[in-house]
Amino acid sequence: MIKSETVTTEVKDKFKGARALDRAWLWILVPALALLWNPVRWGLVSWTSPGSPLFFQLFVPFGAAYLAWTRRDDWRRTTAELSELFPDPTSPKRVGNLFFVFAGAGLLLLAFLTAMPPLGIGALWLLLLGGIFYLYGPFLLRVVLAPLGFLLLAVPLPAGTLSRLVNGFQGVAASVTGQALTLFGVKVRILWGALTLLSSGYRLEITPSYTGLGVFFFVMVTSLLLILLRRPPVWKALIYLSLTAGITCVASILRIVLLALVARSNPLLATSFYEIPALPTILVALGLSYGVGGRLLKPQVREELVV
Amino acid sequence: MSARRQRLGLVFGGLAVLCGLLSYRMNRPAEWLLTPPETAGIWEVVETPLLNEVLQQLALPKAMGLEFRNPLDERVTCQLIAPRSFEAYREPAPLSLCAITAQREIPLFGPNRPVRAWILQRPQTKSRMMVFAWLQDREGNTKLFGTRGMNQGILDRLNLGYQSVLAREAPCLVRIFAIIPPSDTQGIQTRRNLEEVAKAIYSAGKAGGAS
Repeated sequence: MIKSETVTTEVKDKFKGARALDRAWLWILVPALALLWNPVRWGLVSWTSPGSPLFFQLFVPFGAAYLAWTRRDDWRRTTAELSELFPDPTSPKRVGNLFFVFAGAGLLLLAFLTAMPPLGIGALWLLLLGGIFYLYGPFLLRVVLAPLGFLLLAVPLPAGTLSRLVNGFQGVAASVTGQALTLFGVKVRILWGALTLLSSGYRLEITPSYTGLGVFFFVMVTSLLLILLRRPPVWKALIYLSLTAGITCVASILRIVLLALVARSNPLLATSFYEIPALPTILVALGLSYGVGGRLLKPQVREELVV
Repeated sequence: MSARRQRLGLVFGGLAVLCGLLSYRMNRPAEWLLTPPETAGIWEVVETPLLNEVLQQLALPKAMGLEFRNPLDERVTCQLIAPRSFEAYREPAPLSLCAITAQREIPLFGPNRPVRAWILQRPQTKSRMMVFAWLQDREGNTKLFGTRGMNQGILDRLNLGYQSVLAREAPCLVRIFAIIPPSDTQGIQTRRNLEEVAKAIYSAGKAGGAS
Protein backbone atom coordinates (compact mmCIF):
# COMPACT_ATOMS: atom_id res chain seq x y z
CA MET A 1 0.00 0.00 0.00
CA ILE A 2 1.32 3.46 -0.91
CA LYS A 3 1.27 6.01 1.84
CA SER A 4 -0.39 9.33 1.07
CA GLU A 5 2.75 11.22 2.23
CA THR A 6 4.88 9.50 -0.41
CA VAL A 7 2.37 10.42 -3.13
CA THR A 8 2.31 14.05 -1.99
CA THR A 9 6.14 14.23 -2.05
CA GLU A 10 6.21 12.76 -5.57
CA VAL A 11 3.64 15.25 -6.80
CA LYS A 12 5.57 18.12 -5.17
CA ASP A 13 8.81 16.95 -6.80
CA LYS A 14 7.12 16.78 -10.19
CA PHE A 15 5.63 20.23 -9.67
CA LYS A 16 9.07 21.60 -8.71
CA GLY A 17 10.54 20.01 -11.82
CA ALA A 18 7.91 21.66 -14.02
CA ARG A 19 8.56 25.06 -12.44
CA ALA A 20 12.32 24.65 -12.91
CA LEU A 21 11.63 23.80 -16.55
CA ASP A 22 9.54 26.95 -17.00
CA ARG A 23 12.22 29.11 -15.40
CA ALA A 24 14.83 27.67 -17.75
CA TRP A 25 12.65 28.70 -20.68
CA LEU A 26 12.39 32.24 -19.30
CA TRP A 27 16.12 32.58 -19.90
CA ILE A 28 15.36 32.33 -23.60
CA LEU A 29 11.88 33.84 -23.84
CA VAL A 30 12.59 37.21 -22.22
CA PRO A 31 15.58 38.22 -24.41
CA ALA A 32 13.86 36.67 -27.45
CA LEU A 33 10.86 38.99 -26.93
CA ALA A 34 13.23 41.96 -26.64
CA LEU A 35 14.90 40.90 -29.90
CA LEU A 36 11.53 40.70 -31.66
CA TRP A 37 10.62 44.31 -30.92
CA ASN A 38 12.40 46.33 -33.60
CA PRO A 39 12.27 43.94 -36.60
CA VAL A 40 8.57 43.26 -36.02
CA ARG A 41 7.93 47.00 -35.73
CA TRP A 42 9.65 47.53 -39.10
CA GLY A 43 7.71 44.64 -40.63
CA LEU A 44 4.38 45.97 -39.34
CA VAL A 45 4.81 49.10 -41.46
CA SER A 46 4.78 47.06 -44.67
CA TRP A 47 2.22 44.49 -43.45
CA THR A 48 -0.41 46.93 -42.27
CA SER A 49 -0.11 49.83 -44.71
CA PRO A 50 -3.40 50.27 -46.65
CA GLY A 51 -3.57 48.12 -49.80
CA SER A 52 -0.32 46.33 -48.96
CA PRO A 53 0.00 43.03 -50.84
CA LEU A 54 2.06 41.70 -47.92
CA PHE A 55 -0.76 41.71 -45.35
CA PHE A 56 -0.81 37.90 -45.54
CA GLN A 57 2.50 37.86 -43.66
CA LEU A 58 0.70 38.79 -40.44
CA PHE A 59 -0.98 35.37 -40.49
CA VAL A 60 2.09 33.32 -41.41
CA PRO A 61 3.42 32.87 -37.82
CA PHE A 62 0.02 31.51 -36.75
CA GLY A 63 0.01 29.07 -39.69
CA ALA A 64 3.55 27.97 -38.84
CA ALA A 65 2.61 27.50 -35.18
CA TYR A 66 -0.40 25.35 -36.15
CA LEU A 67 1.77 23.33 -38.53
CA ALA A 68 4.31 22.75 -35.75
CA TRP A 69 1.48 21.69 -33.42
CA THR A 70 0.33 19.04 -35.91
CA ARG A 71 3.84 17.59 -35.93
CA ARG A 72 3.97 17.09 -32.15
CA ASP A 73 3.63 13.29 -32.36
CA ASP A 74 6.55 13.11 -34.82
CA TRP A 75 8.56 15.25 -32.40
CA ARG A 76 7.77 12.97 -29.42
CA ARG A 77 8.49 9.82 -31.40
CA THR A 78 11.81 11.14 -32.73
CA THR A 79 12.84 12.32 -29.24
CA ALA A 80 12.13 8.88 -27.80
CA GLU A 81 14.00 7.15 -30.64
CA LEU A 82 17.01 9.46 -30.25
CA SER A 83 17.12 8.89 -26.46
CA GLU A 84 17.14 5.18 -27.08
CA LEU A 85 19.72 5.20 -29.86
CA PHE A 86 22.01 7.85 -28.36
CA PRO A 87 21.68 7.77 -24.55
CA ASP A 88 24.33 10.47 -24.07
CA PRO A 89 22.36 13.77 -24.02
CA THR A 90 25.43 15.68 -25.28
CA SER A 91 25.77 13.49 -28.37
CA PRO A 92 26.01 15.58 -31.57
CA LYS A 93 22.93 13.69 -32.78
CA ARG A 94 20.87 15.17 -29.92
CA VAL A 95 22.29 18.70 -29.67
CA GLY A 96 23.90 21.14 -32.10
CA ASN A 97 26.30 24.07 -32.00
CA LEU A 98 25.77 27.83 -31.99
CA PHE A 99 26.75 28.41 -35.63
CA PHE A 100 23.29 29.41 -36.90
CA VAL A 101 22.63 31.51 -33.78
CA PHE A 102 25.78 33.55 -34.40
CA ALA A 103 24.97 33.83 -38.11
CA GLY A 104 21.49 35.13 -37.17
CA ALA A 105 23.02 37.54 -34.63
CA GLY A 106 25.39 38.93 -37.28
CA LEU A 107 22.53 39.34 -39.72
CA LEU A 108 20.41 41.10 -37.08
CA LEU A 109 23.17 43.62 -36.35
CA LEU A 110 23.52 44.21 -40.08
CA ALA A 111 19.75 44.71 -40.26
CA PHE A 112 19.93 47.36 -37.52
CA LEU A 113 22.74 49.24 -39.24
CA THR A 114 21.04 49.16 -42.63
CA ALA A 115 17.41 49.52 -41.35
CA MET A 116 16.26 46.80 -43.74
CA PRO A 117 13.09 44.96 -42.60
CA PRO A 118 13.70 41.85 -44.77
CA LEU A 119 17.12 41.38 -43.18
CA GLY A 120 15.68 41.89 -39.68
CA ILE A 121 12.89 39.34 -40.05
CA GLY A 122 15.26 36.96 -41.88
CA ALA A 123 17.69 37.25 -38.96
CA LEU A 124 14.95 36.41 -36.46
CA TRP A 125 14.11 33.34 -38.52
CA LEU A 126 17.75 32.26 -38.53
CA LEU A 127 17.95 32.79 -34.75
CA LEU A 128 14.89 30.56 -34.25
CA LEU A 129 16.35 27.87 -36.50
CA GLY A 130 19.72 28.21 -34.75
CA GLY A 131 18.09 27.99 -31.31
CA ILE A 132 16.26 24.76 -32.21
CA PHE A 133 19.43 23.31 -33.75
CA TYR A 134 21.50 24.21 -30.71
CA LEU A 135 19.05 22.76 -28.18
CA TYR A 136 17.74 19.71 -30.05
CA GLY A 137 20.23 18.82 -32.77
CA PRO A 138 19.82 18.06 -36.48
CA PHE A 139 17.24 15.25 -36.30
CA LEU A 140 14.61 17.14 -34.34
CA LEU A 141 15.30 20.22 -36.46
CA ARG A 142 14.36 18.13 -39.48
CA VAL A 143 10.99 17.32 -37.86
CA VAL A 144 10.05 21.02 -37.70
CA LEU A 145 11.70 21.98 -40.97
CA ALA A 146 8.35 22.30 -42.79
CA PRO A 147 6.85 24.77 -40.24
CA LEU A 148 10.14 26.65 -40.22
CA GLY A 149 10.18 26.78 -44.01
CA PHE A 150 6.61 28.07 -43.98
CA LEU A 151 7.61 30.73 -41.44
CA LEU A 152 10.16 32.00 -43.96
CA LEU A 153 7.19 33.41 -45.89
CA ALA A 154 6.92 36.09 -43.17
CA VAL A 155 10.11 37.74 -44.46
CA PRO A 156 8.98 40.90 -46.33
CA LEU A 157 9.99 41.21 -49.95
CA PRO A 158 12.54 43.97 -50.65
CA ALA A 159 10.78 47.22 -51.59
CA GLY A 160 12.24 47.23 -55.13
CA THR A 161 11.11 43.66 -55.90
CA LEU A 162 7.66 44.33 -54.51
CA SER A 163 7.33 47.52 -56.51
CA ARG A 164 8.32 45.68 -59.73
CA LEU A 165 5.79 42.94 -58.96
CA VAL A 166 3.02 45.47 -58.31
CA ASN A 167 3.83 47.27 -61.58
CA GLY A 168 3.86 43.98 -63.48
CA PHE A 169 0.51 42.86 -62.04
CA GLN A 170 -0.89 46.33 -62.68
CA GLY A 171 0.00 46.20 -66.36
CA VAL A 172 -1.27 42.64 -66.85
CA ALA A 173 -4.50 43.30 -64.91
CA ALA A 174 -5.23 46.44 -66.97
CA SER A 175 -4.53 44.69 -70.25
CA VAL A 176 -6.50 41.49 -69.47
CA THR A 177 -9.43 43.48 -68.06
CA GLY A 178 -9.46 45.64 -71.19
CA GLN A 179 -9.66 42.53 -73.39
CA ALA A 180 -12.35 40.98 -71.16
CA LEU A 181 -14.42 44.16 -71.35
CA THR A 182 -14.31 44.20 -75.16
CA LEU A 183 -16.05 40.80 -75.01
CA PHE A 184 -18.93 42.60 -73.26
CA GLY A 185 -18.87 45.34 -75.87
CA VAL A 186 -17.34 47.92 -73.51
CA LYS A 187 -14.73 50.08 -75.22
CA VAL A 188 -11.89 51.24 -73.01
CA ARG A 189 -8.65 53.16 -73.27
CA ILE A 190 -5.74 51.79 -71.24
CA LEU A 191 -3.02 54.15 -70.05
CA TRP A 192 -0.46 53.50 -67.31
CA GLY A 193 -2.50 50.94 -65.40
CA ALA A 194 -5.71 52.94 -65.60
CA LEU A 195 -8.78 52.09 -67.67
CA THR A 196 -11.02 54.80 -69.04
CA LEU A 197 -14.48 53.78 -70.26
CA LEU A 198 -15.01 55.59 -73.55
CA SER A 199 -18.80 55.63 -73.15
CA SER A 200 -19.02 57.34 -69.75
CA GLY A 201 -15.47 58.68 -69.31
CA TYR A 202 -15.25 56.83 -66.00
CA ARG A 203 -11.61 56.32 -65.02
CA LEU A 204 -10.88 53.06 -63.24
CA GLU A 205 -7.43 53.11 -61.72
CA ILE A 206 -5.77 49.76 -61.02
CA THR A 207 -4.31 50.61 -57.62
CA PRO A 208 -1.99 48.13 -55.83
CA SER A 209 -5.07 46.78 -54.06
CA TYR A 210 -6.81 46.18 -57.41
CA THR A 211 -3.83 44.42 -59.01
CA GLY A 212 -4.86 41.24 -57.19
CA LEU A 213 -1.32 40.68 -55.90
CA GLY A 214 -2.48 40.71 -52.26
CA VAL A 215 -5.27 38.21 -53.04
CA PHE A 216 -2.79 36.06 -54.99
CA PHE A 217 -0.26 35.96 -52.16
CA PHE A 218 -2.86 35.29 -49.46
CA VAL A 219 -4.61 32.44 -51.26
CA MET A 220 -1.36 30.85 -52.49
CA VAL A 221 0.09 30.87 -48.98
CA THR A 222 -3.10 29.35 -47.55
CA SER A 223 -2.94 26.66 -50.23
CA LEU A 224 0.68 25.97 -49.34
CA LEU A 225 -0.37 25.54 -45.71
CA LEU A 226 -3.02 23.03 -46.79
CA ILE A 227 -0.41 21.14 -48.81
CA LEU A 228 1.97 21.01 -45.84
CA LEU A 229 -0.85 19.77 -43.61
CA ARG A 230 -2.07 17.07 -46.00
CA ARG A 231 1.37 16.12 -47.37
CA PRO A 232 0.20 14.98 -50.85
CA PRO A 233 2.54 13.71 -53.61
CA VAL A 234 4.53 16.48 -55.32
CA TRP A 235 2.62 16.23 -58.61
CA LYS A 236 -0.70 16.70 -56.85
CA ALA A 237 0.67 19.66 -54.90
CA LEU A 238 1.90 21.30 -58.11
CA ILE A 239 -1.46 20.79 -59.86
CA TYR A 240 -3.26 22.23 -56.84
CA LEU A 241 -0.98 25.28 -56.69
CA SER A 242 -1.45 25.90 -60.45
CA LEU A 243 -5.24 25.65 -60.12
CA THR A 244 -5.19 28.01 -57.13
CA ALA A 245 -3.07 30.53 -59.04
CA GLY A 246 -5.58 30.41 -61.91
CA ILE A 247 -8.56 30.80 -59.55
CA THR A 248 -7.08 33.85 -57.79
CA CYS A 249 -6.16 35.55 -61.08
CA VAL A 250 -9.65 35.00 -62.52
CA ALA A 251 -11.30 36.19 -59.29
CA SER A 252 -9.20 39.38 -59.24
CA ILE A 253 -9.90 40.14 -62.90
CA LEU A 254 -13.63 39.49 -62.39
CA ARG A 255 -13.62 42.02 -59.56
CA ILE A 256 -12.37 44.75 -61.92
CA VAL A 257 -14.59 43.64 -64.82
CA LEU A 258 -17.69 43.72 -62.61
CA LEU A 259 -16.76 47.18 -61.38
CA ALA A 260 -16.29 48.39 -64.96
CA LEU A 261 -19.66 46.93 -65.97
CA VAL A 262 -21.32 48.74 -63.07
CA ALA A 263 -19.47 51.92 -64.05
CA ARG A 264 -20.82 51.68 -67.61
CA SER A 265 -24.40 51.99 -66.42
CA ASN A 266 -23.96 53.87 -63.13
CA PRO A 267 -20.59 55.64 -62.56
CA LEU A 268 -21.75 57.02 -59.20
CA LEU A 269 -22.51 53.54 -57.85
CA ALA A 270 -19.17 52.30 -59.19
CA THR A 271 -17.38 55.04 -57.24
CA SER A 272 -18.94 53.68 -54.04
CA PHE A 273 -18.14 50.07 -55.02
CA TYR A 274 -14.54 51.08 -55.71
CA GLU A 275 -14.00 51.64 -51.98
CA ILE A 276 -14.98 48.06 -51.08
CA PRO A 277 -11.85 46.22 -49.93
CA ALA A 278 -10.57 43.02 -51.53
CA LEU A 279 -12.00 40.84 -48.72
CA PRO A 280 -14.98 39.44 -50.74
CA THR A 281 -12.59 38.49 -53.57
CA ILE A 282 -10.30 36.77 -51.08
CA LEU A 283 -13.21 34.83 -49.58
CA VAL A 284 -14.45 33.70 -53.01
CA ALA A 285 -10.96 32.66 -54.16
CA LEU A 286 -10.25 30.99 -50.84
CA GLY A 287 -13.55 29.08 -50.88
CA LEU A 288 -12.98 27.85 -54.44
CA SER A 289 -9.37 26.96 -53.74
CA TYR A 290 -10.31 25.07 -50.56
CA GLY A 291 -13.08 23.24 -52.44
CA VAL A 292 -10.59 22.09 -55.08
CA GLY A 293 -8.01 21.26 -52.41
CA GLY A 294 -10.53 19.25 -50.39
CA ARG A 295 -11.16 16.98 -53.39
CA LEU A 296 -7.63 16.85 -54.79
CA LEU A 297 -5.66 16.53 -51.56
CA LYS A 298 -7.81 14.00 -49.71
CA PRO A 299 -5.73 12.43 -46.90
CA GLN A 300 -4.58 8.92 -47.81
CA VAL A 301 -6.40 6.29 -45.71
CA ARG A 302 -4.09 3.38 -45.02
CA GLU A 303 -5.68 -0.05 -45.06
CA GLU A 304 -4.73 -1.92 -41.94
CA LEU A 305 -4.30 -5.65 -41.93
CA VAL A 306 -6.53 -7.40 -39.48
CA VAL A 307 -4.99 -10.62 -38.29
CA MET B 1 19.67 20.83 -21.35
CA SER B 2 18.94 23.54 -18.78
CA ALA B 3 22.55 24.79 -18.99
CA ARG B 4 22.27 24.94 -22.78
CA ARG B 5 19.06 26.98 -22.48
CA GLN B 6 20.79 29.37 -20.12
CA ARG B 7 23.72 29.69 -22.50
CA LEU B 8 21.40 30.36 -25.42
CA GLY B 9 19.46 32.85 -23.27
CA LEU B 10 22.70 34.65 -22.45
CA VAL B 11 23.59 34.90 -26.15
CA PHE B 12 20.09 36.24 -26.91
CA GLY B 13 20.29 38.63 -23.95
CA GLY B 14 23.67 39.98 -25.04
CA LEU B 15 22.37 40.41 -28.55
CA ALA B 16 19.24 42.20 -27.27
CA VAL B 17 21.40 44.63 -25.26
CA LEU B 18 23.63 45.28 -28.29
CA CYS B 19 20.58 45.85 -30.52
CA GLY B 20 19.11 48.20 -27.88
CA LEU B 21 22.31 50.24 -27.81
CA LEU B 22 22.47 50.38 -31.61
CA SER B 23 18.83 51.42 -31.72
CA TYR B 24 19.44 54.16 -29.14
CA ARG B 25 22.49 55.50 -30.97
CA MET B 26 20.71 55.48 -34.30
CA ASN B 27 17.52 57.10 -32.97
CA ARG B 28 19.45 59.86 -31.22
CA PRO B 29 19.47 62.19 -34.23
CA ALA B 30 15.73 61.71 -34.73
CA GLU B 31 14.64 64.70 -32.67
CA TRP B 32 16.79 67.65 -33.73
CA LEU B 33 15.78 70.04 -36.50
CA LEU B 34 17.73 73.21 -37.16
CA THR B 35 15.89 76.47 -36.65
CA PRO B 36 14.88 77.95 -40.00
CA PRO B 37 15.17 81.70 -40.68
CA GLU B 38 12.05 83.84 -40.36
CA THR B 39 13.01 85.89 -43.41
CA ALA B 40 15.96 85.74 -45.77
CA GLY B 41 16.70 89.12 -47.36
CA ILE B 42 14.01 89.68 -49.94
CA TRP B 43 12.69 86.18 -49.40
CA GLU B 44 9.49 85.61 -47.45
CA VAL B 45 9.28 82.27 -45.62
CA VAL B 46 5.99 80.37 -45.63
CA GLU B 47 5.59 77.12 -43.72
CA THR B 48 4.28 74.39 -46.04
CA PRO B 49 4.11 71.04 -44.19
CA LEU B 50 5.37 68.02 -46.09
CA LEU B 51 2.66 65.87 -47.64
CA ASN B 52 1.65 62.78 -45.73
CA GLU B 53 2.67 60.55 -48.67
CA VAL B 54 6.14 62.10 -48.64
CA LEU B 55 6.49 61.56 -44.89
CA GLN B 56 5.44 57.95 -45.26
CA GLN B 57 8.08 57.41 -47.94
CA LEU B 58 10.65 58.71 -45.48
CA ALA B 59 9.44 56.43 -42.64
CA LEU B 60 7.68 59.28 -40.77
CA PRO B 61 10.61 61.40 -39.53
CA LYS B 62 10.32 64.68 -37.65
CA ALA B 63 10.29 67.14 -40.53
CA MET B 64 9.46 70.69 -41.56
CA GLY B 65 8.55 72.06 -44.97
CA LEU B 66 9.13 75.69 -45.99
CA GLU B 67 8.69 77.71 -49.12
CA PHE B 68 10.79 80.79 -49.80
CA ARG B 69 9.09 83.35 -52.07
CA ASN B 70 10.59 86.56 -53.43
CA PRO B 71 8.77 89.62 -54.84
CA LEU B 72 9.22 88.26 -58.38
CA ASP B 73 7.22 85.19 -57.28
CA GLU B 74 10.24 82.94 -57.65
CA ARG B 75 10.00 80.01 -55.27
CA VAL B 76 12.46 77.76 -53.49
CA THR B 77 11.13 74.73 -51.63
CA CYS B 78 12.93 73.59 -48.49
CA GLN B 79 12.70 70.34 -46.53
CA LEU B 80 14.28 69.99 -43.07
CA ILE B 81 14.39 66.39 -41.89
CA ALA B 82 15.69 64.76 -38.71
CA PRO B 83 16.80 61.39 -40.10
CA ARG B 84 15.46 58.57 -37.93
CA SER B 85 16.61 55.78 -40.21
CA PHE B 86 18.06 55.23 -43.65
CA GLU B 87 14.63 55.71 -45.19
CA ALA B 88 14.73 59.40 -44.26
CA TYR B 89 17.66 59.88 -46.66
CA ARG B 90 15.60 58.69 -49.62
CA GLU B 91 14.55 61.25 -52.13
CA PRO B 92 10.78 61.65 -52.06
CA ALA B 93 8.78 60.80 -55.17
CA PRO B 94 8.81 64.00 -57.26
CA LEU B 95 12.61 64.16 -57.11
CA SER B 96 13.37 60.46 -57.29
CA LEU B 97 11.39 60.15 -60.52
CA CYS B 98 13.66 62.65 -62.28
CA ALA B 99 16.80 61.75 -64.22
CA ILE B 100 20.05 63.31 -63.09
CA THR B 101 21.83 65.45 -65.67
CA ALA B 102 24.56 67.04 -63.52
CA GLN B 103 26.01 66.59 -60.05
CA ARG B 104 28.58 68.72 -58.22
CA GLU B 105 29.99 69.24 -54.77
CA ILE B 106 30.10 72.96 -53.89
CA PRO B 107 31.97 74.35 -50.81
CA LEU B 108 29.17 76.86 -50.32
CA PHE B 109 29.66 77.68 -46.64
CA GLY B 110 33.46 77.68 -46.65
CA PRO B 111 36.21 75.08 -47.02
CA ASN B 112 35.21 71.59 -45.77
CA ARG B 113 31.58 72.68 -45.55
CA PRO B 114 30.16 71.37 -48.78
CA VAL B 115 26.70 70.92 -50.22
CA ARG B 116 25.77 68.60 -53.04
CA ALA B 117 24.10 70.17 -56.08
CA TRP B 118 22.13 68.36 -58.77
CA ILE B 119 20.27 69.24 -61.89
CA LEU B 120 17.37 66.90 -62.49
CA GLN B 121 15.14 66.49 -65.49
CA ARG B 122 11.62 65.16 -65.49
CA PRO B 123 11.29 62.12 -67.73
CA GLN B 124 10.09 62.82 -71.27
CA THR B 125 9.93 66.56 -70.65
CA LYS B 126 12.33 69.49 -70.78
CA SER B 127 11.36 70.61 -67.30
CA ARG B 128 14.49 70.88 -65.10
CA MET B 129 15.04 71.31 -61.41
CA MET B 130 18.04 72.35 -59.32
CA VAL B 131 18.58 70.74 -55.92
CA PHE B 132 21.01 71.47 -53.07
CA ALA B 133 21.28 69.05 -50.15
CA TRP B 134 23.52 68.65 -47.13
CA LEU B 135 23.63 67.44 -43.54
CA GLN B 136 24.24 70.13 -40.93
CA ASP B 137 24.95 69.80 -37.22
CA ARG B 138 24.55 72.34 -34.39
CA GLU B 139 28.15 73.48 -34.80
CA GLY B 140 27.56 74.41 -38.42
CA ASN B 141 29.56 71.51 -39.84
CA THR B 142 28.13 70.16 -43.05
CA LYS B 143 28.65 66.88 -44.83
CA LEU B 144 27.22 65.01 -47.76
CA PHE B 145 25.20 61.84 -47.47
CA GLY B 146 25.91 59.75 -50.51
CA THR B 147 25.38 60.29 -54.16
CA ARG B 148 21.96 61.01 -55.54
CA GLY B 149 20.06 57.94 -56.68
CA MET B 150 21.54 55.82 -53.92
CA ASN B 151 19.01 53.17 -54.87
CA GLN B 152 19.12 52.06 -51.27
CA GLY B 153 22.22 49.94 -51.88
CA ILE B 154 23.21 47.86 -48.90
CA LEU B 155 26.70 49.41 -48.68
CA ASP B 156 25.25 52.94 -48.64
CA ARG B 157 22.84 51.88 -45.94
CA LEU B 158 25.57 50.19 -43.93
CA ASN B 159 27.82 53.23 -44.18
CA LEU B 160 25.05 55.58 -43.05
CA GLY B 161 24.08 53.29 -40.16
CA TYR B 162 27.71 53.05 -39.08
CA GLN B 163 28.15 56.83 -39.34
CA SER B 164 25.04 57.52 -37.28
CA VAL B 165 26.22 55.14 -34.54
CA LEU B 166 29.61 56.87 -34.39
CA ALA B 167 28.35 60.44 -34.89
CA ARG B 168 28.78 62.75 -31.92
CA GLU B 169 26.39 65.41 -33.16
CA ALA B 170 22.86 64.88 -34.43
CA PRO B 171 22.60 66.09 -38.04
CA CYS B 172 19.67 67.72 -39.79
CA LEU B 173 19.10 66.90 -43.43
CA VAL B 174 18.47 70.02 -45.50
CA ARG B 175 17.17 69.76 -49.05
CA ILE B 176 16.23 72.82 -51.11
CA PHE B 177 15.10 72.82 -54.69
CA ALA B 178 13.59 75.03 -57.36
CA ILE B 179 12.30 74.57 -60.88
CA ILE B 180 14.60 76.10 -63.50
CA PRO B 181 12.38 78.34 -65.65
CA PRO B 182 12.74 77.95 -69.45
CA SER B 183 14.02 81.54 -69.66
CA ASP B 184 16.96 80.69 -67.35
CA THR B 185 18.71 78.49 -69.90
CA GLN B 186 22.02 78.30 -68.00
CA GLY B 187 20.33 77.98 -64.60
CA ILE B 188 22.33 80.98 -63.32
CA GLN B 189 19.37 82.77 -61.74
CA THR B 190 18.08 79.58 -60.11
CA ARG B 191 21.53 78.82 -58.70
CA ARG B 192 21.78 82.36 -57.30
CA ASN B 193 18.38 81.93 -55.63
CA LEU B 194 19.29 78.57 -54.14
CA GLU B 195 22.61 79.89 -52.85
CA GLU B 196 20.93 82.86 -51.15
CA VAL B 197 18.37 80.65 -49.46
CA ALA B 198 20.96 77.99 -48.54
CA LYS B 199 23.19 80.59 -46.88
CA ALA B 200 20.24 82.01 -44.93
CA ILE B 201 19.25 78.53 -43.70
CA TYR B 202 22.84 77.67 -42.82
CA SER B 203 23.39 80.88 -40.83
CA ALA B 204 20.08 80.57 -38.97
CA GLY B 205 20.76 76.92 -38.16
CA LYS B 206 24.27 77.65 -36.94
CA ALA B 207 23.16 80.53 -34.73
CA GLY B 208 19.87 78.90 -33.60
CA GLY B 209 19.97 75.29 -32.48
CA ALA B 210 17.28 73.09 -31.09
CA SER B 211 13.63 73.48 -32.02
